[in-house]
Amino acid sequence: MRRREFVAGTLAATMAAPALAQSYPDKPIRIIVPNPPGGSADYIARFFQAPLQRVLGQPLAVANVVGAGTAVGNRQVRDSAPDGHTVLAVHQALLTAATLKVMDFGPEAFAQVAQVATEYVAVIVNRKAPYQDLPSFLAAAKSGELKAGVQIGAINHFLFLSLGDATGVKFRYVNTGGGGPTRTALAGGHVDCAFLTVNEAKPLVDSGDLTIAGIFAPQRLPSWPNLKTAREQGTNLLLNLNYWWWMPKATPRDRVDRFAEALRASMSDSEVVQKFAEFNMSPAFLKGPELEAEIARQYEAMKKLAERNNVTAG
Amino acid sequence: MDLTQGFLHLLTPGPFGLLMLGTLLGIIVGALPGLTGGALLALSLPFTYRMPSVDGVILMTAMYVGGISGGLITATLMRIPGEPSAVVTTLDGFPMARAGQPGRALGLGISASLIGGALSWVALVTLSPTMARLALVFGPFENFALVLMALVLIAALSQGSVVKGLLSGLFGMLVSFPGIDETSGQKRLTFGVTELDGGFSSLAVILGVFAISQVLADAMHANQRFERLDANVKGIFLSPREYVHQAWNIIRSAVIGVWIGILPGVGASISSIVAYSTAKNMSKTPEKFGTGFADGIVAAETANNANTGGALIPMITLGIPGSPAASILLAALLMHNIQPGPTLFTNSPEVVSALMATHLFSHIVMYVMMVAGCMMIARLMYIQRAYILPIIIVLCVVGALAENGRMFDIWTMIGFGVIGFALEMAAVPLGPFVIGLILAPLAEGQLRAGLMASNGSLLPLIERPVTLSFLLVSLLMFVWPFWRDRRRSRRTAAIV
Repeated sequence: MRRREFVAGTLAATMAAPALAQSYPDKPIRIIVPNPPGGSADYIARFFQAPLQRVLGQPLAVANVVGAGTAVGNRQVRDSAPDGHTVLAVHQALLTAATLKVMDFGPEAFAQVAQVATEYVAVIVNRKAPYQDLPSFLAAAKSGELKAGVQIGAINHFLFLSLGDATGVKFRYVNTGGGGPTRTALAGGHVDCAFLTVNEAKPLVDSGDLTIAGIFAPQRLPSWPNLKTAREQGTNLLLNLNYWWWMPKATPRDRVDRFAEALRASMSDSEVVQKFAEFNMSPAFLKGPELEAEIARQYEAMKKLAERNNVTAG
Repeated sequence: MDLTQGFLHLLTPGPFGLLMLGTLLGIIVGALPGLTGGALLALSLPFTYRMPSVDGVILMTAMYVGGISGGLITATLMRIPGEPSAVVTTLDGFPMARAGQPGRALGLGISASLIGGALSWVALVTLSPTMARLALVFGPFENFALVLMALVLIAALSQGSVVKGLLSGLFGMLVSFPGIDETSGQKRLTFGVTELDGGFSSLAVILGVFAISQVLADAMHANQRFERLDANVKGIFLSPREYVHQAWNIIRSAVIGVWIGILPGVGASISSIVAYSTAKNMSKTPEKFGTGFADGIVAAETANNANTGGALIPMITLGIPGSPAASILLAALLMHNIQPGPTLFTNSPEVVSALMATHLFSHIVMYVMMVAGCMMIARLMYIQRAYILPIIIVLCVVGALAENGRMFDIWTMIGFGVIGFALEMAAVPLGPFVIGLILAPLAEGQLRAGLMASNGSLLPLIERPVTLSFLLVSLLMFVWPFWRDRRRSRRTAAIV
């Protein structure tokens, strides 16, 4: 009995070897979002959840594993079994955490599966401020006295560093936190400016509290035709968030590729198309060497930026 | 916006079923130690994503209300808060239940929850836009002064030795320090232990010091039943006289609950702590607090339910959640691409009216369910502890794990269970510990943000009218108990 089972098992294993890629995924997939529910990184994971499920034929579960500026969730994925059943949905927050050495590993510790979208960010100011567009805002900022609401060391901080680098302006940083609380502080007049996505800013723009001074996108957003880009206002700079899907480093290449292709297929799913449009996100698929090069480039640029601005404590 | 529309919609079978389901699930999860209403909301997020938006709002609002309310059950009967917001309910609820009046203790809590919720609903419906705008004035310094006021209450909350209370509060603050320093983005006090990078999970710590330590204490007499088997659930309905007697306490606690609810980033636990301590400080008989005193239960439970209505105010009018649970509700709306904010009232009036109607209805449903279930629930008191303790441990482990899926949080919980047990043995009160744990990070973050904005100057603290008045009130509250005790002892001395 034992022996027969053993023989059958070996036989099955030899026969199944070439078919291994087809058998993936053979159990539910866990998507780890290292940010709390209700942020862009979380939305992306949930937009793709159902479409991916249809393509891959296995249920997907989204779990928010929060803490230490995304380091806790990132570490959990890095240390998971590299079988393609644990995926990290992340954006540049991972790079900032690695740059500031909050984590003792960076993008090199992962298999980079794919990029699905880009979301351009905008400089937002209070409606009562004397500056309501980008040139007058930058002119006012020359004093070095404008208070920028950021989370120190997070991506919204690095966005200001990039802007400062491109325009030669310095800001005074106030630690207001992520998008939500920063928006509140801006509306209450406790800080003077912030980087937000237009979606985050919308309710308080509609209420007449905030103004979008300029969006750092290559062209105007279809849903905001009157909103001028930074380029149109004389600042030639693009600033965006990129949404990436990563797996543990040792995940077999064919599985990484299978998931990447599933993501690509899901991007034409009507549900995803509609959500991208509603949230002003631009589809931007990348995988393989192209993606790796792009991430390496961003990581290098970020490290240099941190060095130049002396934020490499740690 | 037409509110009647919301009410009529709720009275149709489908939505009403969702309301009942949400409230019931909320109460159960709220009552279970370990699982919080916030966790329930987060877990149901994917389901609501696939629902029509109005139905999703109904389900989640009902869960929110049920969750906050359910916490009082285990807090009262076992001294294990089902929700962090019910921590101070244990202080008077449990002694009263243990003294043979579990029905009355539960009744006080349930009625106070209903009234607190209903009063906050009135605020939600009538004052929303004004209040939300007022809350925007609160910057880092104002928030810091408010939190400081609550921290000072540690002294007021210390039963027995004030010194032990303060030490316990300081220890709580210390536990909140390790992890990422939010203001610099750097790690601190992690001693190279990567698991500590995210700090101690405050949920795991609270579960440890309250639930696990209680289990340890109970395990020492696991085979004992409670002495008073003849006790019943009499007193579940309060008499009109009692309502009149508590009127001022209820109104004050509701106002505190609503206002703290409106302030972003300050949760329901703080509103019950502040309401309880204020009730104690203003009471003619402060010594009765902590011994099973009705006023204590009423203050805590009015405030934490009033917090729900308050937290929804900035969420719907400005898209700013007033509490962690409200932020998950907000996430659910955003996933449906419903942008809360001033335009919500014109763009999606059906969502606003459904949310407001659900907030009131689920409080009523909660009251009916909890009163009806009270007989059954109160019997829990008399089941042999040996049967209950293992279940509580399992639930706590599940709860600690559900938050982040980390084994480290479970070790944290067990470790702090032992510490909590030891503190109790040394007669060190646990209330101040939790206050320190929850408030220190808030106070630190707000003060440092304020200092960054003012270029390191502390002057705004006394220049701004709101902060100045908070500081003066803190000072008063700090000095008042000492002064009162001295005057009293002098008077007693004179009489003697």
